Amino acid sequence: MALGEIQGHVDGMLLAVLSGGPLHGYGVTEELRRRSGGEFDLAEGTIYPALHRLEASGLLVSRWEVVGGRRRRVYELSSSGRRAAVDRRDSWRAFRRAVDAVFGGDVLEAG
Amino acid sequence: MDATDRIEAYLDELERELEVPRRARRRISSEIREHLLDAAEAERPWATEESFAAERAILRFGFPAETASQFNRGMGRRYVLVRRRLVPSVAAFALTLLATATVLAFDPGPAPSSWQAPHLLVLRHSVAQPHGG
Repeated sequence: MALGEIQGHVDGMLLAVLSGGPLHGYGVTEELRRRSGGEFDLAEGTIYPALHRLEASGLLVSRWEVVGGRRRRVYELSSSGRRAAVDRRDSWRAFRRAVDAVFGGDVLEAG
Repeated sequence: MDATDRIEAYLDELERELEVPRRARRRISSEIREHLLDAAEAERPWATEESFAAERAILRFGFPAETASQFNRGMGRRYVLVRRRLVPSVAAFALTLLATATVLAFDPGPAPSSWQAPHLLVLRHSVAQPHGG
């Protein structure tokens, strides 16, 4: 999937991935790839600016931890991040229903 | 060039492109180093050599200039704005201070008057009328 198509949703998807628990950056990209069934194979470098931006806006907190013998920056949702993750999911679902309704009509007519 | 050298060369290039505070630059570099080491390790089964695995990991990560520009658009923009405004202000203030100090150092100042240096007056008076004279 083209980066442009998911660019506006990267922040929401990162919040969703981190809803599952704390992860370091590489873990986030792996989880994103796994959850999307390999569809979101975006340049991994785009993840870090987004993580830093979300942290600066108070939605994530991070700390250094030693994982597997190496020092890694681990991210997790803050309390406002947890609320934002739920809000973004709900608004995405509403958007998806609306788009599905529109595309569904087109598909029925075309078929 | 082995895998570590390849990754360090990438990080050097990235750091050159970053316009963020030094502390943030160090953190970004450390995080991305760990990421690339993980990614290179994951690529190892598909690469004939370690350096190729690192190369593939770097390709997946993206161009350093592109990654840096995304950081610069976020935290860097504020940093660059502050730096652009603060540095000339501090420089102007320092120059003013230096100029003032220089002028004061070479200016002998006004001649001492009675109210500015009363001790000199007392001294003159003592010389003119010595005790016991």
